[in-house]
Amino acid sequence: MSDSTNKKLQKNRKVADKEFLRPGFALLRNAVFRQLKYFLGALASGLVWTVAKILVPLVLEAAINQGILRGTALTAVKWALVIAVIGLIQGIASGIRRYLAFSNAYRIETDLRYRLFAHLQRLHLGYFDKAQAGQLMSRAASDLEQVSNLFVNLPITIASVITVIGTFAVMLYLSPLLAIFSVLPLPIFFVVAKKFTKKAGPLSADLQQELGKMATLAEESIVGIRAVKGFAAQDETINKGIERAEGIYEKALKFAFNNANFNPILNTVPALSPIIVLLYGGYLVSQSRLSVGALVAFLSFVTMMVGPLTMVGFFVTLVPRGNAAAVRIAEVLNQSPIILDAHHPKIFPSSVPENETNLLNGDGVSVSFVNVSFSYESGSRNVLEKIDFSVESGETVAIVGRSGSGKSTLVKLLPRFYDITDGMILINGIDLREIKLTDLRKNVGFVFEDTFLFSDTVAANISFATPDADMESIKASAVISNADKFIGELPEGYQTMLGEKGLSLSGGQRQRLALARAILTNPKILVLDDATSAVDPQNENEILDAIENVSKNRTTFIIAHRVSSISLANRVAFFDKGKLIAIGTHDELIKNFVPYGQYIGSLSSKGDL
Amino acid sequence: MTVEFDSEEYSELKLRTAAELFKLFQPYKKRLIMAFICLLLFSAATLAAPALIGYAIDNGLGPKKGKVLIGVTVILIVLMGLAILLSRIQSKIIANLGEMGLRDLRIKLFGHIMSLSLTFFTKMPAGKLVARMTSDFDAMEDLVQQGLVIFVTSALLFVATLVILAVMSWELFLVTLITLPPLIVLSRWFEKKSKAAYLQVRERIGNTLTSLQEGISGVKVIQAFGRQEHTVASFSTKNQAQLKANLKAIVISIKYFPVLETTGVVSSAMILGVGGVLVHDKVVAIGTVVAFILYLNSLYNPIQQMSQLYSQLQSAGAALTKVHEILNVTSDLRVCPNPVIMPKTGDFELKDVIFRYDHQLPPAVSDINLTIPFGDHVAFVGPTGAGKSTLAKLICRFYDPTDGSITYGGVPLDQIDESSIRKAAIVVPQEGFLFSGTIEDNIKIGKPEATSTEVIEALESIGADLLLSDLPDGIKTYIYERGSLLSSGQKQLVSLARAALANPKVLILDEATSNLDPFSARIIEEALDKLKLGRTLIVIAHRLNTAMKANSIIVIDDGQIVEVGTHDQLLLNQKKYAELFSAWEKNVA
Repeated sequence: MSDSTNKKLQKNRKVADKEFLRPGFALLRNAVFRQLKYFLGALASGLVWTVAKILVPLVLEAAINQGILRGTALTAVKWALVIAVIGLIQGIASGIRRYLAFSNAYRIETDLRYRLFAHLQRLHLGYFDKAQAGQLMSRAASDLEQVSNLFVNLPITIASVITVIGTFAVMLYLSPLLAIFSVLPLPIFFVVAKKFTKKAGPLSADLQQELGKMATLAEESIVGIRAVKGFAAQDETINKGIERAEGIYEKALKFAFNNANFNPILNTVPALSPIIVLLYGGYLVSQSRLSVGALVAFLSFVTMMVGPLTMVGFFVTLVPRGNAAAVRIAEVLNQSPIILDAHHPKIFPSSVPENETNLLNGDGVSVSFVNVSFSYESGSRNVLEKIDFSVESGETVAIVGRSGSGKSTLVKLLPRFYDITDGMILINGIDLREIKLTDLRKNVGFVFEDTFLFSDTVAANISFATPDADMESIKASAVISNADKFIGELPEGYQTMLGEKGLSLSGGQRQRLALARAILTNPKILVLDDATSAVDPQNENEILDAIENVSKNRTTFIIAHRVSSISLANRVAFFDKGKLIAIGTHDELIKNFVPYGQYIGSLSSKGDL
Repeated sequence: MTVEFDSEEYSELKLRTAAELFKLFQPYKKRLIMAFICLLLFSAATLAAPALIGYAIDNGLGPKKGKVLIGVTVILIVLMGLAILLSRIQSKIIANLGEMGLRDLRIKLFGHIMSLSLTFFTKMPAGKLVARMTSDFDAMEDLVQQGLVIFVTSALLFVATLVILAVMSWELFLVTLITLPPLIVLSRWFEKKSKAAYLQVRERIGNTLTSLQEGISGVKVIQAFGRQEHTVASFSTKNQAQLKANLKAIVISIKYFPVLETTGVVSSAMILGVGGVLVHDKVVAIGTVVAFILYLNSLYNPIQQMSQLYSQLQSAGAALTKVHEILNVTSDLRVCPNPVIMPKTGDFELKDVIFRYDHQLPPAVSDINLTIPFGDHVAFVGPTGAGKSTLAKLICRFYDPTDGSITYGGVPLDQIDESSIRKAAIVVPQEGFLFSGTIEDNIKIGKPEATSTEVIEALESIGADLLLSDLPDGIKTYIYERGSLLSSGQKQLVSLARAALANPKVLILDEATSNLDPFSARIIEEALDKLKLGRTLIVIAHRLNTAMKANSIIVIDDGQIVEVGTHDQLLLNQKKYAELFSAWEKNVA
């Protein structure tokens, strides 16, 4: 390989390194500017503190000379008072500095955590299909902790740099030659620091990544503890935990050993300055070109630089990890949400005034799927292929088909959980991508097959989407979804806490709460994604009655596997392998479409099983 | 089971924590001593440097004294090299020990959490537990990575300087001691306050992460109902509460450290004043006062350093305490001193079983008397919330009954080794939970040593191979916890394949087929005909076509067994089952 290509490669790598670090630095810089007031305050008080710290020994020296060696007992006491006052100033500055530096760092941390969460909530649902909650939690905890650590030490480091520069200026004034000699070790310091940073960067990134993996395992196995225990996977999971812990150990040790190799050098290099000055100054003294007094005075200034320089060295060791952490946070923050409002979003088209509150008397809209195709990732196979059908206002359509035929995916397009790859979905003739997202979602009531309940009261879970709802309407929706009775039997009725320190509800009970939640929003479009699968037959009948009532005037999509649910629908859309293969009334399809007849036959095959 | 602690219990907990910490490092005693020796030598080298420079100034300046100067410089540089070397060794030993300790503690905590009973998990939000596993370790790790060495070095330098001072002049040393009593009082106040404050910080971090975790787990519902703003606001409340706790801890610390700092300077001033008087009274020599003040100076630096790191130490201490809160939670399953292995075959006998989730709640099941012979196929049927699931969980010992007894093959369940029960009795829950990994990994969780062929065979045995065949990479397809690549029916098939691969003696399907479409459900039901051979099969089902094939149907209502019999017998009975069946028939017809 020629020299020039070699250089080119090296340059490329350097650029790549910088590219990799850039989002981290941008994030850190931005964070400082958001809290500039506190930051400057911390810097100023840090400066006062550092100067006072340096002043005390200087004044002490003077006091010894003036007060003890020469003066009277009274002079010594006077000097003592001066020192005490400086000590007081130092203490006050230290307190202010400490408060501002830490509170600034905590504010930055809190702000970033807030932005992280708010940003996550803005992201499209597709992001969460692959996002690992543990990794995200790790960013909100471990990574932010590292960033915060950096900011705690940043103001005092800058104050230290200013002190060093100030001291150097005084030294330059006293003796330019000695001043130059005193900073001779600095190039060594920079070379070592640079070498350290280069090695520590990737090591820190590895470590933070490993910590994220542990968090993912912990989160998954705790959330999935029933599966872990039910499938006797406890030992296997613990083994994985050991593996992760070993992984962290290995990476943390590499990181720590690198620190151990460089830290002592970074700490010691500044201490070389006084030695060099002593040696060269001593030579000058022996040549009678410098007085002993001048050298001693000069030495005390050089010694002053050592402390602040060591602080800078300490900070240098924090930077790579803080930056690697910032990169991981920026990674999430730079993820742009795909599903956004149009430039001039329209309101949800509706014919009935907003204040219509009768839950049982909803009102629908027409929905048309026009040649809709969809794939979860660009380039991968279509999960839905050229779906084309219309649903009239107030109509109830059953979406029927085998597991994996695309039923669930189809209804997830209605609240724009995903945007279609091709075609259009029209609501009252308006492309739903043109409708304001919050408005759209407010008007599409969704009941999922797996019910998520929040750690809150039963009432709050029902009124999750409509926090202003009064108790009366909460109860009404619970009555409609046939949940009122079992809620009444809970220890504290509607005020019973779920989740945290609460009791666990059965699958059927959870589904009925979810139904109540959706009903309470009084949506124009109601989507029931296999919402009655865990309900016992008796309750199912009652819920089906409820659904029949609720869906009367609303546009309703029911994904169902049971004839009883299917028969609630005006029409049936029959799906197979991502395609709509037949649509019509239940009776029509049974009569005219053989595969549907077979499918329905399998549903009512209770006799032969 | 205790999950929360009162502040009064802190001190006791602290003692326990210290003891645990000691135990943690017990195996590494030798290396610890080695590190300590390095540290001592390093401190000595550090302390010697100012003295040497002082010596050089006094004796090495002026004409013809070059040799002394060069000698001292050489010694200083050698000392520096030595300090670098010693500091390296010592840092590596301490980092290694610290990281090993953390690794062991991580493994211990994770293993402990995984071994706790399900009751614990219904009372403890996942986010808090994840916080214990992550954030608390970060706090401890920060200390290990940067704080510990500096802290120990500073403490050592501090003590060494104190000794030097005492030796130098006991009169002046006594004067410095005057500042001690108020400092001790202040320190005790600070210790107590900051411990409580940092424990609160840890607690609040747990709350924030809980909110974060729920915000991610529930993102589908949040977005569906357009409630992002509300969710972000509620997260923000937790986040701000964490900030407040952090600020409170800082406010406490600034009432302490600046006082400490000022006291240090003031005591120098005092020595100067008192020393000045004493010198003039000729009680103490001038040189002693000067040296004393200079050394008093080197007392500050360690104090500064320690105060910088003290929050880190406190934070790590609080984190360790929180971790021990979890480690001290005992499983509420009864502990048997000499557990036996689960008998290969046996009948389940339930006698007068009562179970309450909480002593304040009415019993979830009561008066349960039931025998399930080995190899039998049993169905639990009844309205939602009747207690079917609870009963199944008692049978596989996720819980111990509040009263009454459950035996397998004549052996009470609470005398059988828990992990052998887990291996023998597999429970397939209603929702097919997936872990990040390939489908193969997911199927193998109950039998990690299984080969790919066995995994495929397990899929074939339940007829699920076709359903998975249209995935891009077959069983090597990577899936995520919240992934939508698989439909819920497909997830459940993966779940059932896990059970088929594990080949247990007792198989419990807890509404495991209700999420399946009839096609898949039918495949599974055919598979069950094969799967039920040679094992006890318990099925909880709302679809009565799944239930009616059982040898015996147990009808549960309101926590009690109301009917037992075959499908035909129960229909003739014209009671609860007949009622349920006619309702179901109406639905499918």
